[in-house]
Amino acid sequence: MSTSSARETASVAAAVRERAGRWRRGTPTGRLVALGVLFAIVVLAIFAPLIGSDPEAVDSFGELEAPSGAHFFGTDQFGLDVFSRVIHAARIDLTVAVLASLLALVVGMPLGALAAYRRGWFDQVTMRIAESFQAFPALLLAMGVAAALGSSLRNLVFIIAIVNAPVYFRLTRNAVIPLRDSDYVIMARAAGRSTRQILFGHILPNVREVAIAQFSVNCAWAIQILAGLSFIGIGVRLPTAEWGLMVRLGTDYIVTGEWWVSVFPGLAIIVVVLALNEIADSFRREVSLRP
Amino acid sequence: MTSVAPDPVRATDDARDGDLLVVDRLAARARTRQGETFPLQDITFTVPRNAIVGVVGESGSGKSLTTAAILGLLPAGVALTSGTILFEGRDLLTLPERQLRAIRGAKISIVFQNPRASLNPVISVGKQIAEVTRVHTGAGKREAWEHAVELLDGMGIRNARRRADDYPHQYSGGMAQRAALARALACSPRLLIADEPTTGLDATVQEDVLELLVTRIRERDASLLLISHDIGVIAATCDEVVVMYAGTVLESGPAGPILEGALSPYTAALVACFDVTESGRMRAIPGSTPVLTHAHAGCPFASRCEVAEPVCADSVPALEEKGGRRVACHLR
Repeated sequence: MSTSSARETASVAAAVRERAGRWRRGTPTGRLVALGVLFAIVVLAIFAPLIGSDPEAVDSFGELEAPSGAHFFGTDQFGLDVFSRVIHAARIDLTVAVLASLLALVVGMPLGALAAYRRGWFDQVTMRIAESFQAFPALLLAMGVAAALGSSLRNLVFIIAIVNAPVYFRLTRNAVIPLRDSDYVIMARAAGRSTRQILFGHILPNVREVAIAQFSVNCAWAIQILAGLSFIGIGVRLPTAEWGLMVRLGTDYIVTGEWWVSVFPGLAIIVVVLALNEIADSFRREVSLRP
Repeated sequence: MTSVAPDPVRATDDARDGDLLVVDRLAARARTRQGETFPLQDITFTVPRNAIVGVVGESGSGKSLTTAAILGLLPAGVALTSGTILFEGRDLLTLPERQLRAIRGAKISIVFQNPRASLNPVISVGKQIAEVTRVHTGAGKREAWEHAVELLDGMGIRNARRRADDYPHQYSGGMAQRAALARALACSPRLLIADEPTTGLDATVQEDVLELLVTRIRERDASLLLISHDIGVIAATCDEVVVMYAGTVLESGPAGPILEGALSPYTAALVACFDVTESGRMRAIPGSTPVLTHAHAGCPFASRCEVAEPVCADSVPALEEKGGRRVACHLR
């Protein structure tokens, strides 16, 4: 009885070690694939003007042509090459996503660290503000702000950043709380460092892993929000190429058999979001396994 | 070694002649979930210039809290209720934060018991030491780095130039404490507070580190406030000693006379604990330290004291000059 349970424990322990070892030894295949896919999409986006046709010149080609050698992803109802539009859209979607996530990070992380470090009323007030932001579904909040501010590309970056900043804020705050009374933070104060120097020089470098993992997930969210806003008509406007908007344009034709107008931009969203999530996941696993 | 420390806070001439640090009737109150406590009740002692002063006492006697108060780093929920802390003649408790920051690290610095925890894990050791110099002297990056290497070398780190690039986890415990001490000495402080600096180290390393520390302090004409519960360490290094118990000071003065002929029964009991040669085994003081939920009504040690008399429980003994030292005891 006891020997069998001991054997069981040993085999479980071995399995855990084996898995841990696999991650630590680290050929994270998933991450390599994800990075490769992202890299390919970024390259396509950068060279989109050289590879594809003009994404906004109406009736360049026949309307609603099925995918073929000439048009890999077919053409849409305006006679535009869907492939060209998908790779042009990558420029907008990725740029907005990265800028918005960066802005959210730059605002959210220092505030979160300050809230945890300062405690008291500052912590309470900022925490309640972050919570009230997060009480709304992200897309709903983004819709409201977009409706109020208007939806230029610049505003879209701000809107998505506003929606995402509370996430960085709370993550950082929670990561800093166990550090704020650590000896080295007290040491830094004992050495005459100012609050700003302690936050940026001593505390934030210790939680940067949180930021890196979150940044990747956040870019994925940002793309979904941007696509979502465009899909319901308050994000990017025609004739600009954007994935969510392109999915919207194709919805009328799916029932009549011209599936390619929606499916390819939709696939682009899925692939990019999955790749970003995989990168974040593999990174987080690695960090959590670190001794 | 050249000192790169500036003089951010100028003291008056007569303050230069007086004691470096004067802590006078310090008392503190702490608010906890369990209610109020009074961890410091009456702390009075002085640290002369060029002196090594040991503070002994059991856990909870207020040793660490007193040092936190000196640096203005009391934990949340703890507040001073009375007393003054004079450093070079200036009251640290009324000094604005900006001036306090100029003193911390430059004129008063501190080392904690756990060296590894007191070094930031993601910054190289050399950079952490150089940073202190740069903050307080405005020295350039390169200059501060050279100074850091010198300091590490001075604390007995071999290959200091190469090891300065390492991160704290690459250091052994003893090396980490040497590095922490190097950082504390970066600006040649007038006062170094060392809170159990060798407690976490191997016995063989303890002596080396302690000896180096004393040498570095002496050659800088600085003072050292050495907090320890190890009488042996205190006896070996200190000029003066302060005996703390339950948030009060029971005896203070020159180390030799106090450790060899204690006037306070508590000091005597404490010394006897470490005197294993007499009985061949370690003694313990019976009873436990009093709870600090209210101000002492009598002598805080009365309940454990072998020679206590009724008066001891009735009134708090004052710290008075007796026989070349200060003692708080009704019977002496």
